[in-house]
Amino acid sequence: MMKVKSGDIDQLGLLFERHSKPLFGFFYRLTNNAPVSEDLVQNVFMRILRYRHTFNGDGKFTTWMYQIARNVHIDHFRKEKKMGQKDDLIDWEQMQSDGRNAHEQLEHKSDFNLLKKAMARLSVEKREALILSRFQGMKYEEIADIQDCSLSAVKVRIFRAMNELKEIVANLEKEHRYD
Amino acid sequence: MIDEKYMDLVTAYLDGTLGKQQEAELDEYLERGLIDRDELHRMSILQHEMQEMPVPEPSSRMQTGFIDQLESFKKEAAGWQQVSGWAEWLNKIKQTFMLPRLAVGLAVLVIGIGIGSLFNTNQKYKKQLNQLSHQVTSMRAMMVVNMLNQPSSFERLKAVNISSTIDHTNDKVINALLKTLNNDPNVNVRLATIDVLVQHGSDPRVREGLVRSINRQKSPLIQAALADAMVVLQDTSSVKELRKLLQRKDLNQTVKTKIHSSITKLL
Repeated sequence: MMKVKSGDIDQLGLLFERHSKPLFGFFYRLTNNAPVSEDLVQNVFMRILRYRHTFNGDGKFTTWMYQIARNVHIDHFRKEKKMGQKDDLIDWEQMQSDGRNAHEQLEHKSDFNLLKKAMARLSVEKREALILSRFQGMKYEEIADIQDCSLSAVKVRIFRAMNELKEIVANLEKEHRYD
Repeated sequence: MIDEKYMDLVTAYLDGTLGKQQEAELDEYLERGLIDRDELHRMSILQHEMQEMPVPEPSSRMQTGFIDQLESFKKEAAGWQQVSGWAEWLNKIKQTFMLPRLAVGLAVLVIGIGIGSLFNTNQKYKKQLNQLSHQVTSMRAMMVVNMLNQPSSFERLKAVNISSTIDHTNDKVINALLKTLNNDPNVNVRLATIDVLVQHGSDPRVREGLVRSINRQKSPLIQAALADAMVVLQDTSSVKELRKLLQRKDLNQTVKTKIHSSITKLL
C-alpha cells in the first residue's frame, strides 16, 4: 500500500488480487446480492485510490480497507433506502452450477435462507461484527479498530448478536412450521 | 437468552479458547442450570451453520471492471497534468454532472408538462404539450441508452426497467436492448431485457432480433425464456432456429423438453 501511496498506482492490482475475494464475501453476506457486492468491491478499491494519501501505515492495511468498506456499504444502504429499492435478485446461474441435486439444493437453500433472513433482522452494527468475526476470521481487536469502538463493546455486540440470532431463528422455524 | 454475565465464558466456548479453569467453571454453571445447556448447544450449531453458508465466486466482471476503472483513473490523472486547468475542470464537471443534469432536465420538463396541462385552454398549448411529451420520451430513451452502457449490472438492470415505461418504440432503445440481450454478461439483465422486448413484440425488428438471439445464448435460463417468448408472440418463424438449437449437444435436458413443447404450441 505504501507503494500505491507514493504514486505506483499499478501496485493496487496486487492488493486487488489479494483482498477482493474476501471483501466480496463480506459484502455478499451483508447484502445477499452478488452483482451489488461486485460493484461495492470496485468502489472500495476506487476509494482506496482516491484517499491513498490518508493511509499512514500505522495500522494494518486490511483494517483500513474494511473501514472504507463499512463506509461504502453505509452509503449504498442509504442510497437504496432513499430510492426505496429492495434488492432481491437471486443468482440463478450460481444455483445452477451447484453440483447438488434439486431436492438437496432446496433443503440446504431453505436452511441457509432461514439463517440469511435471521441475520438480516440484526442491526447493521451487530451483523458487521458477526460477519467480521465469524466469517472473515478477524480478531476482536481488529474489529474494534474497524468499528471504532472498544474491545469490550465488540464482544458485547457479538454475544448479543448470537443470542438474538438464536431467538430469531427459533421464531422463524416456528413460523415456517405453521406455514 | 443466556445471561450477559456469562458472556466471556460463552464467547470463549464458541471461539474454542476455553482454558481448563474456565471449562470447569462452565461445567459447573451448566450443572447448576445457570446456563441452559440446550441454548448453548443451539448457539454452537448456529455458529457452525453460519460458517457453512455458501458464498458464490465473484464473476470476472469484478476484475475487468476494476481494471477499466484503474485505467480511466490513470488517464484522468495524466490528463490533469497535461491539459490546462480550466478546460480540464470544465470537462470533469461535465462528466460528473451529466446524469444529474439529465435528471434535473427531466424533472423540469415533467413539472412544465404538469403546469402546462393545468392551463391548457387551446389547441396551441396541446401542440406544445405533445412536443414536450415527445422531448421527455427522447430524453428518457437517451438516459436508458447511456445507462445500458454502464459497467454496473445493477445500473443496467435499472435501465432495462426504465425502458419498459417508454411508450413509443424508439430505434435507439430497441437496438440497445437487442445488443444487451446478445452481449450482456449478466443473466438477470438479459432475462429482464427479454420481458421488455416481448412488450414491443408487435415491432417486426424486435421479433427478428429475438429469433436471431436464440442460437447465440448459452445460458439454459435464457434459452428457456426465449422459447417462452416465441410462444407468447406466436412467432412461427422461430421454429427453424429452435430446431437448430435442439441439435446442440450441450443443451440442457429441461430446456430440450421446453423447446419441444414450444415447437408443438407454435405449429
